[in-house]
Amino acid sequence: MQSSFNSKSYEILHIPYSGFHSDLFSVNFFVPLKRETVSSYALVASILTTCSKEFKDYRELNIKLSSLYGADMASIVTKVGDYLCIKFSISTIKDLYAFNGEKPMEEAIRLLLGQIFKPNFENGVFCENDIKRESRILIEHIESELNNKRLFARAKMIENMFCDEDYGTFRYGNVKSIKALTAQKLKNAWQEMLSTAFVKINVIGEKLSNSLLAEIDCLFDGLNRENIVERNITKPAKLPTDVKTVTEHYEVAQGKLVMGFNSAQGNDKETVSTLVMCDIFGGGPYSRLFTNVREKLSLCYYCSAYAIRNKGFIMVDSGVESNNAEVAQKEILNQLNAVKNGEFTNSEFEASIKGIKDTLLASYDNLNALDAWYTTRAMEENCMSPKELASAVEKVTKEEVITAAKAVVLNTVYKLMPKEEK
Amino acid sequence: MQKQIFNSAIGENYTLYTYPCGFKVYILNKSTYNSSYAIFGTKYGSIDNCFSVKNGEKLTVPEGIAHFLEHKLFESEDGDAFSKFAKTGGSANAFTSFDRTCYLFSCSERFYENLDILLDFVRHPYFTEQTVNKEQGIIGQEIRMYDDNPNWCVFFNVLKALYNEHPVRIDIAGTTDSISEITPKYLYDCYNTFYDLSNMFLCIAGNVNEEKIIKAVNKIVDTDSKKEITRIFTKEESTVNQKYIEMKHSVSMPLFTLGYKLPAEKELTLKEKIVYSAALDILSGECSTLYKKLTDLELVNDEFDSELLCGNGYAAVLISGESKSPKTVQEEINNEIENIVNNGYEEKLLDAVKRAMYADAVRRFDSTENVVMQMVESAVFDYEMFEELEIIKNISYYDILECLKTLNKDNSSLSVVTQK
Repeated sequence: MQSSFNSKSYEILHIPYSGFHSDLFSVNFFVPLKRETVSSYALVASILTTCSKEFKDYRELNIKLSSLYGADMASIVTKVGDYLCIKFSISTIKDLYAFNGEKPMEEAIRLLLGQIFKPNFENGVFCENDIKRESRILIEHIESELNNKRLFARAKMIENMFCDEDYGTFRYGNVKSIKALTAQKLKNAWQEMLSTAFVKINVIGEKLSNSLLAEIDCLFDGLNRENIVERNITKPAKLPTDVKTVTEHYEVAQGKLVMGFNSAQGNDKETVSTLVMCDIFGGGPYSRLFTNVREKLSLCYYCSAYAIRNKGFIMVDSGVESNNAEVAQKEILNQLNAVKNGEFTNSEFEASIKGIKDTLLASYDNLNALDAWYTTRAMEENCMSPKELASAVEKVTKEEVITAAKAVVLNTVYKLMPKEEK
Repeated sequence: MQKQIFNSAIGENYTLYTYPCGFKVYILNKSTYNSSYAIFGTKYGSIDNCFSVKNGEKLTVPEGIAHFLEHKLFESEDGDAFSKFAKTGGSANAFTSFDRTCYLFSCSERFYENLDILLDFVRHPYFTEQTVNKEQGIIGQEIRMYDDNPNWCVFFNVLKALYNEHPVRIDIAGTTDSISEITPKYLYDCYNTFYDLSNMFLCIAGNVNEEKIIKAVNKIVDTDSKKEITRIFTKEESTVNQKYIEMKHSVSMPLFTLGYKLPAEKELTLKEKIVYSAALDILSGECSTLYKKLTDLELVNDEFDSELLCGNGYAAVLISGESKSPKTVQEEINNEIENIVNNGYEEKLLDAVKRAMYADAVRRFDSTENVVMQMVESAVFDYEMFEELEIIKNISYYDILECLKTLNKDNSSLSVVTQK
């Protein structure tokens, strides 16, 4: 694996993996996560992937992408700790598989760069029709979060747990903030992104040609990038003074119970132990939550725990009958206490180590997983590879798991319950 | 046992072993990969509610039993399969659909131990009144979880509207009432009928050794005989059950699925399925004039999608999305079908769609999971995996037109989930 840092202050990582039939190229912009700006970045990202100076019409753009062997171009906006990551990616088949000696990937990369750096402007700002179209779709995406009650409940828990931090905002912002965006504000956000974002470019597959590298250099050359976002600004979730409990009622058949806990944050030994601890607690079908809360007590159809390492919290989410919610909550806390007290078997411990290691090694077999891995770690000084993390996981001891569990503190409980319970 | 090797121009090849009893084993080696993926499955799904063996007594079983059986197979007298996989680091799961039930694992180490566990637990059922009662509670919660999913509801409602009798209209998990009728005897009857190796398949992709796999398989194949299963369906009318169905739900805007019922006396061939896929891309995909028109009119967003759903006795084209005005979308879709059938479409579209479909088929081989799913498709419908690549290249302009002619607006149903 090679990595190079360019003096024009963007970073390129090349993973020369030849096992796939396709290659992937992504440009990732990291900006500080702020409630007041997320919507503008989200809308800019949507507009840039549907039109540009060269492809003013999104249908013509889609026909071009299809003719580049179904090149998969996407923009994804995600929270990565206290950063907002705006990813633009494109992937298509290697030249070897093209019909007539074409070079689809090189053409696809140039197309993506054109989308990012040469937008469809009208009178020096984003075109009103494009803004109107993409705003409507983004607003519908925000509103449709309600359709998936599981995801909705998780988002509400995060909103409540981080209510006085920018992290609590939804990654697209909200409807009101999108409606308030103007063509000029969007242009400002685009310029801000290009000039100040930390930029990480991932190239998975064939390395970039010298001519493409020169073109990328040229694009960044034209920007004033003196004040780039720093690394390592993420702070862990604030410890609570009291546990916050929020219950809301919606038209649902099955209640949702989501619990947020403070845990270790960052990229060190403690977070590796937390990863193992979280898996023993609520990872796979061998975990404490699955075997006890679901299988033995039949309290939930699903009950799982996830560690969000870069912000330092663990989330447990479960689907419960409303009359079981209190009992389920108590049992989830009982199982956490069991881990704190070391009441887990060698089998459970070893199963977690093996399971995590397996998942980590499998990420090498998936282009998007590799891209996501190096993107979510781009803002850390010492980024471990999946293999390195797998080695670190193998070295975790039971005592370290117990120590990690003892650092876990309940912060927020969010319940989404049926309306007739009100 | 018959062994066939299939090669392709994209540098992939796989071996198919067919045992005298009909059991099929597909193996594709990906030596550069860390992980491997395996599915041990049966051609038995939620639609198989009525059947007989060797033309014997007809048996009708409760709805949702195939899915119930899938849950129960993980349990045995000496514990559950998950705990065995946990010791060997295999990540296991299973799923039931209309016409198949699949048990799977993925792993990066100890593949053969995981394979032994898979081949063992699926072939050793264990059902008691107590374990059945417990599972009714868990599956009841699963059913309620799906009741909260409006996308699931709009999909199953369109099937209810399209089909009068065919069991594809029934939810895969059944209902809380139907699963309360399930007994150990019913489970054993279904198991003993459909979980016969003559009705099953094993599909594997990853960094694996064929000889070791066949050695493991040879231990479990102990007969050459084939089970003669007759799957019994009530005659299905060619016309739809109802043209419109609506449900209220907690959604931000209406969801819709428009279904066109297709003739299904014969199963669709591989070529027909591929042509439908291309035709739907041309009619309503991201490159289509229809998608552009509907987007510009603010009638759909990027959730707009289409698929062909087909199997034993059923076939339908489904076009779905979110819209403030589903009936207007329906009208526009019907107008566009008529327009293309009468006036044709841009030829450059077909070339672009073919390239994209070809690349999708090639890229499927990048994922062990995706390629194993494709093998399962081959096993269930009995076709050769690499045929698809050539068929795509040879789709003609007129294939698309003939295909779109089968979408009859007078034999269609619109399902809408709207706000409460």
